[in-house]
Amino acid sequence: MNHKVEDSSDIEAIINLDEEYKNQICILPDNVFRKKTEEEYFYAFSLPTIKKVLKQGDLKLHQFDSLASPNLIDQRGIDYFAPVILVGSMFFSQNPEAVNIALNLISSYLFKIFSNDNKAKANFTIYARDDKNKKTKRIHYDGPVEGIKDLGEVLEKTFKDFEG
Amino acid sequence: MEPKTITIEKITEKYNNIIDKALKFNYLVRDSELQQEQIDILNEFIQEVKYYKAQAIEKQYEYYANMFFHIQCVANSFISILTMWIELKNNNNKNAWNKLIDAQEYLSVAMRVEGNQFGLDDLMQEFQKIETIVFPGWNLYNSSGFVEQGGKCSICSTEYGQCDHLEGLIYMGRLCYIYDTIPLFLDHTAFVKNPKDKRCIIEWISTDDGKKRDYITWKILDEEVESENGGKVVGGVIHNHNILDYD
Repeated sequence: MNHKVEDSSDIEAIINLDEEYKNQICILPDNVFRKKTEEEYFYAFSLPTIKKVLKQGDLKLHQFDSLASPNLIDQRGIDYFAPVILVGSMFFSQNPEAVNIALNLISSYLFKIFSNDNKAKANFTIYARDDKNKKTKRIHYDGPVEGIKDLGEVLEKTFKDFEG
Repeated sequence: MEPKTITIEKITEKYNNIIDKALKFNYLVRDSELQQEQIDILNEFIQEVKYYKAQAIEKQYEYYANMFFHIQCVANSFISILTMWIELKNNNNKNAWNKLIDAQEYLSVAMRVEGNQFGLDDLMQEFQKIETIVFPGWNLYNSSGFVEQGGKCSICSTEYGQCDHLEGLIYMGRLCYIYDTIPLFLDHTAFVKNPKDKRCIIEWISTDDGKKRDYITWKILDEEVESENGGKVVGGVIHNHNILDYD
Protein backbone atom coordinates (compact mmCIF):
# COMPACT_ATOMS: atom_id res chain seq x y z
CA MET A 1 0.00 0.00 0.00
CA ASN A 2 1.42 3.35 -1.01
CA HIS A 3 -0.79 5.60 1.07
CA LYS A 4 -1.34 6.26 4.75
CA VAL A 5 -4.37 7.87 6.38
CA GLU A 6 -4.00 9.42 9.80
CA ASP A 7 -5.76 11.91 12.06
CA SER A 8 -4.50 15.44 11.88
CA SER A 9 -5.32 18.15 14.37
CA ASP A 10 -2.82 20.69 12.97
CA ILE A 11 -5.26 21.87 10.36
CA GLU A 12 -7.65 23.36 12.93
CA ALA A 13 -5.11 26.03 13.79
CA ILE A 14 -5.18 27.45 10.27
CA ILE A 15 -8.64 26.60 9.02
CA ASN A 16 -10.29 29.81 10.22
CA LEU A 17 -7.74 31.84 8.32
CA ASP A 18 -9.20 30.76 5.05
CA GLU A 19 -12.82 29.71 4.65
CA GLU A 20 -12.49 29.52 0.87
CA TYR A 21 -11.55 25.84 1.07
CA LYS A 22 -15.29 25.16 1.47
CA ASN A 23 -15.87 26.31 -2.12
CA GLN A 24 -12.75 25.13 -3.95
CA ILE A 25 -9.86 22.71 -3.75
CA CYS A 26 -7.39 24.62 -1.60
CA ILE A 27 -3.61 24.47 -1.95
CA LEU A 28 -1.63 24.78 1.26
CA PRO A 29 1.97 25.88 1.67
CA ASP A 30 4.28 22.94 2.43
CA ASN A 31 5.31 24.65 5.67
CA VAL A 32 1.91 26.06 6.67
CA PHE A 33 2.09 24.62 10.19
CA ARG A 34 5.61 25.84 10.85
CA LYS A 35 5.42 29.44 9.63
CA LYS A 36 3.09 32.31 10.40
CA THR A 37 3.30 34.88 7.61
CA GLU A 38 2.65 34.78 3.88
CA GLU A 39 6.23 35.83 3.18
CA GLU A 40 7.55 32.80 5.04
CA TYR A 41 5.31 30.26 3.30
CA PHE A 42 6.53 28.15 0.44
CA TYR A 43 4.70 25.76 -1.86
CA ALA A 44 5.85 22.76 -3.87
CA PHE A 45 7.69 23.86 -7.02
CA SER A 46 5.01 22.07 -9.02
CA LEU A 47 2.31 24.57 -7.93
CA PRO A 48 2.17 26.67 -11.14
CA THR A 49 2.31 23.52 -13.29
CA ILE A 50 -0.47 21.77 -11.39
CA LYS A 51 -2.60 24.93 -11.60
CA LYS A 52 -2.19 24.85 -15.39
CA VAL A 53 -2.90 21.11 -15.58
CA LEU A 54 -6.15 21.58 -13.68
CA LYS A 55 -7.08 24.57 -15.82
CA GLN A 56 -7.34 22.06 -18.69
CA GLY A 57 -10.28 20.53 -16.83
CA ASP A 58 -11.74 23.96 -15.99
CA LEU A 59 -10.81 23.36 -12.38
CA LYS A 60 -9.59 26.19 -10.24
CA LEU A 61 -7.42 25.91 -7.20
CA HIS A 62 -7.54 28.29 -4.30
CA GLN A 63 -4.11 29.30 -3.06
CA PHE A 64 -3.93 29.69 0.71
CA ASP A 65 -2.17 33.06 0.62
CA SER A 66 -2.72 36.00 -1.67
CA LEU A 67 0.78 36.31 -3.09
CA ALA A 68 0.86 36.67 -6.88
CA SER A 69 4.32 35.15 -7.03
CA PRO A 70 4.50 32.67 -4.16
CA ASN A 71 7.71 31.14 -2.87
CA LEU A 72 8.32 27.68 -4.29
CA ILE A 73 10.60 24.97 -2.96
CA ASP A 74 12.52 23.04 -5.59
CA GLN A 75 13.19 19.66 -3.97
CA ARG A 76 15.91 17.99 -5.97
CA GLY A 77 14.77 14.43 -5.41
CA ILE A 78 13.55 12.07 -8.10
CA ASP A 79 10.09 12.09 -6.47
CA TYR A 80 7.52 14.43 -7.92
CA PHE A 81 6.30 16.61 -5.08
CA ALA A 82 2.74 17.68 -5.73
CA PRO A 83 1.34 20.65 -3.82
CA VAL A 84 -0.40 19.92 -0.53
CA ILE A 85 -4.16 20.14 -0.95
CA LEU A 86 -7.09 20.56 1.39
CA VAL A 87 -10.55 19.29 0.49
CA GLY A 88 -13.56 20.10 2.66
CA SER A 89 -16.49 17.70 3.06
CA MET A 90 -18.98 20.32 1.86
CA PHE A 91 -17.02 20.91 -1.35
CA PHE A 92 -16.53 17.17 -1.88
CA SER A 93 -20.22 16.35 -1.42
CA GLN A 94 -21.29 19.08 -3.83
CA ASN A 95 -18.51 18.38 -6.38
CA PRO A 96 -17.79 14.66 -6.09
CA GLU A 97 -16.27 14.46 -9.57
CA ALA A 98 -14.02 17.52 -9.28
CA VAL A 99 -11.38 15.83 -7.15
CA ASN A 100 -11.37 12.72 -9.36
CA ILE A 101 -10.96 14.83 -12.49
CA ALA A 102 -8.13 16.74 -10.81
CA LEU A 103 -6.33 13.55 -9.80
CA ASN A 104 -6.75 12.02 -13.26
CA LEU A 105 -5.37 15.14 -14.94
CA ILE A 106 -2.36 15.21 -12.63
CA SER A 107 -1.79 11.48 -13.08
CA SER A 108 -1.87 11.62 -16.89
CA TYR A 109 0.45 14.66 -16.97
CA LEU A 110 2.98 12.86 -14.75
CA PHE A 111 2.66 9.71 -16.82
CA LYS A 112 3.67 11.66 -19.95
CA ILE A 113 6.78 12.97 -18.22
CA PHE A 114 7.83 9.83 -16.42
CA SER A 115 6.69 7.16 -18.90
CA ASN A 116 10.27 5.98 -19.42
CA ASP A 117 11.42 6.34 -15.84
CA ASN A 118 10.46 3.31 -13.79
CA LYS A 119 11.98 4.75 -10.61
CA ALA A 120 9.84 7.90 -10.64
CA LYS A 121 7.54 8.28 -7.67
CA ALA A 122 5.02 10.89 -6.67
CA ASN A 123 4.69 12.39 -3.26
CA PHE A 124 1.25 13.77 -2.53
CA THR A 125 -0.49 14.96 0.66
CA ILE A 126 -4.22 15.61 0.85
CA TYR A 127 -6.02 16.89 3.94
CA ALA A 128 -9.66 15.83 4.10
CA ARG A 129 -11.68 17.93 6.52
CA ASP A 130 -15.10 17.06 7.87
CA ASP A 131 -16.68 20.51 8.13
CA LYS A 132 -19.51 19.34 10.40
CA ASN A 133 -17.46 17.62 13.10
CA LYS A 134 -14.32 19.73 12.56
CA LYS A 135 -12.13 16.68 12.15
CA THR A 136 -9.34 16.25 9.65
CA LYS A 137 -7.46 13.30 8.23
CA ARG A 138 -4.15 13.48 6.42
CA ILE A 139 -3.77 11.20 3.41
CA HIS A 140 -0.16 10.80 2.38
CA TYR A 141 0.74 9.07 -0.87
CA ASP A 142 4.26 7.99 -1.76
CA GLY A 143 4.34 5.65 -4.74
CA PRO A 144 4.25 5.23 -8.53
CA VAL A 145 2.83 8.20 -10.44
CA GLU A 146 0.00 6.16 -11.94
CA GLY A 147 -1.34 5.45 -8.43
CA ILE A 148 -2.35 9.09 -7.92
CA LYS A 149 -5.60 8.67 -9.81
CA ASP A 150 -6.75 6.07 -7.24
CA LEU A 151 -6.55 8.59 -4.41
CA GLY A 152 -10.09 9.72 -5.27
CA GLU A 153 -11.42 6.44 -3.87
CA VAL A 154 -9.28 6.83 -0.75
CA LEU A 155 -10.65 10.33 -0.26
CA GLU A 156 -14.23 9.15 -0.74
CA LYS A 157 -13.74 6.38 1.82
CA THR A 158 -12.15 8.86 4.23
CA PHE A 159 -15.20 11.15 4.04
CA LYS A 160 -17.53 8.15 4.49
CA ASP A 161 -15.58 7.10 7.58
CA PHE A 162 -16.19 10.55 9.06
CA GLU A 163 -19.91 9.90 8.81
CA GLY A 164 -19.31 6.73 10.80
CA MET B 1 18.86 29.17 -58.41
CA GLU B 2 16.52 26.40 -57.24
CA PRO B 3 16.84 25.66 -53.51
CA LYS B 4 18.26 22.23 -52.67
CA THR B 5 15.70 19.78 -51.35
CA ILE B 6 16.09 16.71 -49.18
CA THR B 7 13.46 14.14 -48.24
CA ILE B 8 12.63 13.00 -44.71
CA GLU B 9 13.72 9.51 -45.78
CA LYS B 10 17.17 10.80 -46.75
CA ILE B 11 17.52 12.66 -43.44
CA THR B 12 16.56 9.59 -41.39
CA GLU B 13 18.90 7.44 -43.48
CA LYS B 14 21.75 9.82 -42.75
CA TYR B 15 20.78 9.87 -39.05
CA ASN B 16 20.78 6.06 -38.84
CA ASN B 17 24.19 5.86 -40.53
CA ILE B 18 25.72 8.46 -38.20
CA ILE B 19 24.31 6.78 -35.07
CA ASP B 20 25.39 3.30 -36.26
CA LYS B 21 28.91 4.60 -36.73
CA ALA B 22 28.95 6.43 -33.40
CA LEU B 23 27.85 3.22 -31.66
CA LYS B 24 31.05 1.55 -32.83
CA PHE B 25 33.02 4.09 -30.80
CA ASN B 26 30.96 3.72 -27.62
CA TYR B 27 33.75 1.86 -25.79
CA LEU B 28 36.51 2.96 -23.45
CA VAL B 29 39.24 1.36 -25.55
CA ARG B 30 38.43 3.21 -28.77
CA ASP B 31 40.95 5.84 -29.78
CA SER B 32 40.14 9.29 -28.37
CA GLU B 33 40.90 11.10 -31.62
CA LEU B 34 38.51 8.85 -33.51
CA GLN B 35 35.88 9.38 -30.84
CA GLN B 36 36.39 13.15 -31.17
CA GLU B 37 35.92 12.81 -34.94
CA GLN B 38 32.53 11.20 -34.29
CA ILE B 39 31.63 14.00 -31.89
CA ASP B 40 32.46 16.56 -34.60
CA ILE B 41 30.31 14.70 -37.12
CA LEU B 42 27.43 14.55 -34.63
CA ASN B 43 27.76 18.25 -33.81
CA GLU B 44 27.66 19.17 -37.48
CA PHE B 45 24.65 16.91 -38.00
CA ILE B 46 22.80 18.56 -35.08
CA GLN B 47 23.23 21.96 -36.73
CA GLU B 48 21.80 20.49 -39.94
CA VAL B 49 18.86 18.94 -38.06
CA LYS B 50 18.15 22.22 -36.28
CA TYR B 51 17.95 23.88 -39.70
CA TYR B 52 15.33 21.32 -40.79
CA LYS B 53 13.53 21.74 -37.48
CA ALA B 54 13.36 25.51 -37.99
CA GLN B 55 11.66 24.90 -41.33
CA ALA B 56 9.16 22.50 -39.75
CA ILE B 57 8.44 25.08 -37.04
CA GLU B 58 7.98 27.80 -39.64
CA LYS B 59 5.41 25.66 -41.43
CA GLN B 60 3.86 24.62 -38.09
CA TYR B 61 4.46 20.90 -38.78
CA GLU B 62 4.61 19.80 -35.15
CA TYR B 63 5.05 16.10 -35.92
CA TYR B 64 8.22 16.76 -37.93
CA ALA B 65 9.49 19.44 -35.55
CA ASN B 66 9.23 16.89 -32.73
CA MET B 67 10.83 14.20 -34.87
CA PHE B 68 13.83 16.47 -35.52
CA PHE B 69 13.96 17.30 -31.81
CA HIS B 70 14.10 13.56 -31.09
CA ILE B 71 17.02 13.17 -33.52
CA GLN B 72 18.74 16.21 -31.96
CA CYS B 73 18.44 14.69 -28.46
CA VAL B 74 19.70 11.25 -29.50
CA ALA B 75 22.67 12.82 -31.33
CA ASN B 76 23.42 14.96 -28.26
CA SER B 77 23.20 11.85 -26.12
CA PHE B 78 25.90 10.20 -28.25
CA ILE B 79 28.10 13.30 -28.07
CA SER B 80 27.81 13.13 -24.27
CA ILE B 81 28.60 9.43 -24.01
CA LEU B 82 31.61 9.67 -26.36
CA THR B 83 32.83 12.70 -24.43
CA MET B 84 32.48 10.66 -21.24
CA TRP B 85 34.93 8.03 -22.55
CA ILE B 86 37.43 10.72 -23.62
CA GLU B 87 37.15 12.48 -20.25
CA LEU B 88 37.73 9.19 -18.42
CA LYS B 89 40.92 8.60 -20.38
CA ASN B 90 42.01 12.14 -19.52
CA ASN B 91 41.36 11.50 -15.81
CA ASN B 92 38.57 14.09 -15.74
CA ASN B 93 36.37 11.73 -13.80
CA LYS B 94 33.83 14.16 -12.43
CA ASN B 95 33.20 15.64 -15.84
CA ALA B 96 32.96 12.12 -17.25
CA TRP B 97 30.23 11.33 -14.70
CA ASN B 98 28.36 14.52 -15.63
CA LYS B 99 28.54 13.56 -19.31
CA LEU B 100 27.09 10.13 -18.52
CA ILE B 101 24.13 11.78 -16.78
CA ASP B 102 23.77 14.24 -19.70
CA ALA B 103 23.64 11.26 -22.08
CA GLN B 104 20.89 9.61 -20.00
CA GLU B 105 18.93 12.86 -19.71
CA TYR B 106 19.04 13.54 -23.46
CA LEU B 107 17.87 10.01 -24.12
CA SER B 108 15.08 10.29 -21.57
CA VAL B 109 13.78 13.48 -23.23
CA ALA B 110 14.13 11.93 -26.72
CA MET B 111 11.93 9.05 -25.52
CA ARG B 112 9.14 11.49 -24.63
CA VAL B 113 8.57 12.17 -28.34
CA GLU B 114 5.64 9.97 -29.26
CA GLY B 115 6.32 7.07 -31.60
CA ASN B 116 10.09 7.44 -31.68
CA GLN B 117 11.36 5.06 -29.03
CA PHE B 118 12.69 2.29 -31.25
CA GLY B 119 15.76 0.73 -29.63
CA LEU B 120 16.22 3.49 -27.09
CA ASP B 121 15.10 1.41 -24.10
CA ASP B 122 18.09 -0.91 -24.60
CA LEU B 123 20.44 2.01 -25.03
CA MET B 124 19.12 3.63 -21.86
CA GLN B 125 19.70 0.41 -19.93
CA GLU B 126 23.23 0.28 -21.28
CA PHE B 127 23.89 3.88 -20.19
CA GLN B 128 22.44 3.10 -16.75
CA LYS B 129 24.71 0.06 -16.35
CA ILE B 130 27.76 2.31 -16.89
CA GLU B 131 26.88 3.92 -13.52
CA THR B 132 27.86 0.73 -11.71
CA ILE B 133 30.31 -0.90 -14.11
CA VAL B 134 32.58 2.04 -14.90
CA PHE B 135 31.79 4.12 -11.80
CA PRO B 136 31.38 2.80 -8.24
CA GLY B 137 27.58 2.91 -8.24
CA TRP B 138 27.04 5.46 -5.51
CA ASN B 139 24.19 4.95 -3.06
CA LEU B 140 24.09 8.50 -1.77
CA TYR B 141 23.66 11.78 -3.58
CA ASN B 142 22.95 15.30 -2.43
CA SER B 143 19.43 16.61 -2.71
CA SER B 144 18.72 20.21 -1.89
CA GLY B 145 15.56 22.20 -1.28
CA PHE B 146 15.99 25.72 -2.66
CA VAL B 147 13.21 28.22 -2.12
CA GLU B 148 12.74 30.26 -5.28
CA GLN B 149 10.33 32.63 -6.95
CA GLY B 150 9.14 33.25 -10.49
CA GLY B 151 10.85 31.69 -13.46
CA LYS B 152 10.26 31.93 -17.19
CA CYS B 153 8.91 29.45 -19.70
CA SER B 154 11.49 28.20 -22.24
CA ILE B 155 8.84 27.99 -24.96
CA CYS B 156 7.35 31.50 -24.86
CA SER B 157 9.79 33.36 -22.53
CA THR B 158 6.91 34.77 -20.45
CA GLU B 159 6.42 34.22 -16.72
CA TYR B 160 5.96 30.46 -16.36
CA GLY B 161 2.83 30.86 -14.24
CA GLN B 162 1.15 33.01 -16.89
CA CYS B 163 1.33 30.77 -19.98
CA ASP B 164 -0.25 27.41 -20.79
CA HIS B 165 2.93 25.40 -21.45
CA LEU B 166 3.70 22.56 -19.05
CA GLU B 167 7.17 21.83 -17.71
CA GLY B 168 8.63 18.63 -19.13
CA LEU B 169 6.44 18.40 -22.25
CA ILE B 170 7.61 18.94 -25.83
CA TYR B 171 6.05 21.68 -27.94
CA MET B 172 6.88 22.12 -31.61
CA GLY B 173 10.33 20.56 -31.32
CA ARG B 174 11.35 22.17 -28.04
CA LEU B 175 11.24 21.08 -24.41
CA CYS B 176 9.38 23.22 -21.91
CA TYR B 177 11.51 23.97 -18.87
CA ILE B 178 11.58 26.76 -16.31
CA TYR B 179 14.56 29.11 -16.24
CA ASP B 180 15.55 32.38 -14.56
CA THR B 181 13.99 31.60 -11.21
CA ILE B 182 14.98 33.94 -8.40
CA PRO B 183 16.73 31.97 -5.64
CA LEU B 184 15.77 33.15 -2.16
CA PHE B 185 17.35 30.73 0.28
CA LEU B 186 18.40 27.14 0.82
CA ASP B 187 15.84 25.40 3.05
CA HIS B 188 17.64 22.09 3.47
CA THR B 189 20.00 19.56 1.99
CA ALA B 190 19.68 15.83 2.37
CA PHE B 191 21.38 12.63 1.31
CA VAL B 192 19.13 10.58 -0.94
CA LYS B 193 19.44 7.35 -2.87
CA ASN B 194 17.46 8.47 -5.91
CA PRO B 195 18.13 12.14 -6.63
CA LYS B 196 16.47 14.16 -9.36
CA ASP B 197 19.89 15.20 -10.53
CA LYS B 198 22.65 12.60 -10.33
CA ARG B 199 25.21 15.29 -10.99
CA CYS B 200 24.80 16.23 -7.33
CA ILE B 201 27.43 13.80 -6.13
CA ILE B 202 29.56 13.60 -3.04
CA GLU B 203 33.04 14.73 -4.12
CA TRP B 204 35.07 13.98 -1.01
CA ILE B 205 34.77 12.60 2.51
CA SER B 206 37.04 13.15 5.49
CA THR B 207 39.35 10.43 6.72
CA ASP B 208 39.87 9.54 10.40
CA ASP B 209 43.09 11.53 10.42
CA GLY B 210 41.49 14.69 9.04
CA LYS B 211 42.37 14.47 5.35
CA LYS B 212 40.12 14.66 2.33
CA ARG B 213 39.50 11.48 0.38
CA ASP B 214 38.40 11.91 -3.22
CA TYR B 215 35.08 10.07 -3.38
CA ILE B 216 35.53 9.18 -7.06
CA THR B 217 39.15 8.03 -7.20
CA TRP B 218 39.38 7.09 -3.47
CA LYS B 219 42.74 8.84 -3.40
CA ILE B 220 43.70 10.74 -0.24
CA LEU B 221 44.25 14.37 -1.12
CA ASP B 222 46.85 16.61 0.41
CA GLU B 223 44.18 18.79 2.03
CA GLU B 224 43.27 19.05 5.70
CA VAL B 225 39.65 19.13 6.81
CA GLU B 226 38.34 20.12 10.24
CA SER B 227 35.51 18.31 11.96
CA GLU B 228 33.74 20.22 14.76
CA ASN B 229 32.41 17.20 16.65
CA GLY B 230 34.61 14.40 15.44
CA GLY B 231 32.15 13.20 12.81
CA LYS B 232 32.68 12.67 9.11
CA VAL B 233 32.75 15.72 6.86
CA VAL B 234 31.66 15.53 3.25
CA GLY B 235 31.82 17.94 0.35
CA GLY B 236 29.91 17.79 -2.87
CA VAL B 237 27.64 19.33 -5.45
CA ILE B 238 24.27 20.45 -4.10
CA HIS B 239 22.83 22.14 -7.16
CA ASN B 240 23.43 22.10 -10.86
CA HIS B 241 22.26 25.00 -13.03
CA ASN B 242 23.41 23.59 -16.33
CA ILE B 243 20.64 23.42 -18.95
CA LEU B 244 21.16 21.04 -21.84
CA ASP B 245 20.47 21.74 -25.52
CA TYR B 246 16.68 21.60 -25.67
CA ASP B 247 15.99 24.50 -28.05
